[in-house]
Amino acid sequence: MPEDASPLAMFVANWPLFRDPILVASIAGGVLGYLGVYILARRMVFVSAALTQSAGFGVAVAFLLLLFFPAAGLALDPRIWAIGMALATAWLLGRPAAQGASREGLLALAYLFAGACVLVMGTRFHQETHDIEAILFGTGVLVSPDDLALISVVGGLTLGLQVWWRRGFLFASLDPEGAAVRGLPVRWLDGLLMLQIAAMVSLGTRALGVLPVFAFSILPALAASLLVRGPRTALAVATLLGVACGAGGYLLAFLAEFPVGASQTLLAALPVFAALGLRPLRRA
Amino acid sequence: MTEALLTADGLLIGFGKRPLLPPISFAVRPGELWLLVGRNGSGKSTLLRTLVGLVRPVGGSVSRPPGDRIAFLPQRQIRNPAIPLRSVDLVEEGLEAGWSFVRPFRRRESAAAALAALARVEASDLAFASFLDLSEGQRQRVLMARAFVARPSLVVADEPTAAMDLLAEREALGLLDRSRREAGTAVLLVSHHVPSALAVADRLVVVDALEQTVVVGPRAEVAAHPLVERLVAEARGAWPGGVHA
Repeated sequence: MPEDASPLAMFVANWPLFRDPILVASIAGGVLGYLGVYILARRMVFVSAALTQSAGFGVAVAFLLLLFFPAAGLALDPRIWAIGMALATAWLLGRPAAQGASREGLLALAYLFAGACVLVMGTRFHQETHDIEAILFGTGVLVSPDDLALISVVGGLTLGLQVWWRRGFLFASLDPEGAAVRGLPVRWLDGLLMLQIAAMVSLGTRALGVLPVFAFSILPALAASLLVRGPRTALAVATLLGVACGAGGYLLAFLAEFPVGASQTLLAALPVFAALGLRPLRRA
Repeated sequence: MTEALLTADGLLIGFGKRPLLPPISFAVRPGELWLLVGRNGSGKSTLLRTLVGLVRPVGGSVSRPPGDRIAFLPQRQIRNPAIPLRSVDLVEEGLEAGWSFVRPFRRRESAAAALAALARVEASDLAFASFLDLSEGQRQRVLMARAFVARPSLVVADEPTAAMDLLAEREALGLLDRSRREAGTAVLLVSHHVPSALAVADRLVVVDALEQTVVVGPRAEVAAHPLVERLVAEARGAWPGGVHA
């Protein structure tokens, strides 16, 4: 490769290095983009934030414990801790009347506590600071084959079931009481959706970081909702935007020498701004 | 006598273990329009939600024939503006029941059924409009199409005219009455706009948690009950020159 080669040519030349991270980001972006439509429909934006932060906290705890127990093996696998922490948070938040506190208050508590803990760990263990930043802001250039395999399987199953049972998930999300009266298994569908969100958020957080995962779970769906009229089209557009932002973020980061997570998040925000700008024109 | 579509037998409603009202017994039969009335906080919404299975009864029982089709017409569809939804999409939702969503593809005739249901409530021109851009009256028309699209034997309507002005309310109740007559559907209608609703009702359930009163019977008998007369007078006071039963 000549020294004066263009950044794009260098990117293409180094494709084997970027292939796995881009695949992971595309899969996570697409599936989270799809699920984001339900996160918005159910006004669960803050749930997604709390789950993402909790998953990040799980990863940080696993890293921390590995310092003391380096031979712990699978028991301290950051992915397991991310999923475990996200599921525990989802379960706690799903409990009725959760100890008398408001749901919004508990969501804020989960988000702030988990975020603060990750930052505190970053200041106490300087040698791990890079990892902590990777968790929070998504500097993830290195993705293990295990991460790719796990996200592919879980993402594929999630998207497959979502597309198959789309009508049930939509009805239960948009009008839970009407759906219950019509005999749909609303609680079952709710639980399954939360499980899928928690699993994708935690796996995505381990591989990509908190910031881009939170962005993927909100911004593509928000842009889609502003751009199209029907729910089916919104789901498809949100998925495609998520894929594009996941992959495009890497390219942008490489070309402009930006952090990956920030690039993905900025790219995910662009369609929202564009849709907001176009909205008055569409209504006219 | 035809089989009842919904039977309340000594039904006690409330939250936890404390009943809100005395025991209630009645049976809704095909084609009947039952009006459930009471003041704000009288327990009528709790009664309705108990009848459709959204709230567990404190005592007594609610029964429906197995496999019977029921539809719910809500007070006002609370939709998150973040989710785009056309009227025809919303009406198609009404065709789902139980685990029907596991069929990977909706039948082709579903869209035709939704459009026909919209036509029956004179809302064909709203089919591909965004539901969120519609007026309250238009939204209720679309929701009525959704309630009737699956040809249910019973429609349960929770104050469907609550957000409407008097004219829109009269139109909506007239449409509800016409739809149920055409389809032979029974309707259980909750309303606190008593004078307008009385005009279309066959039978009444009047509840008042404060006075611990439940009155059930045909309109001609129950309309003369002091509680109903008071509700009518209150409504007329709120709307001078309003509709009279």
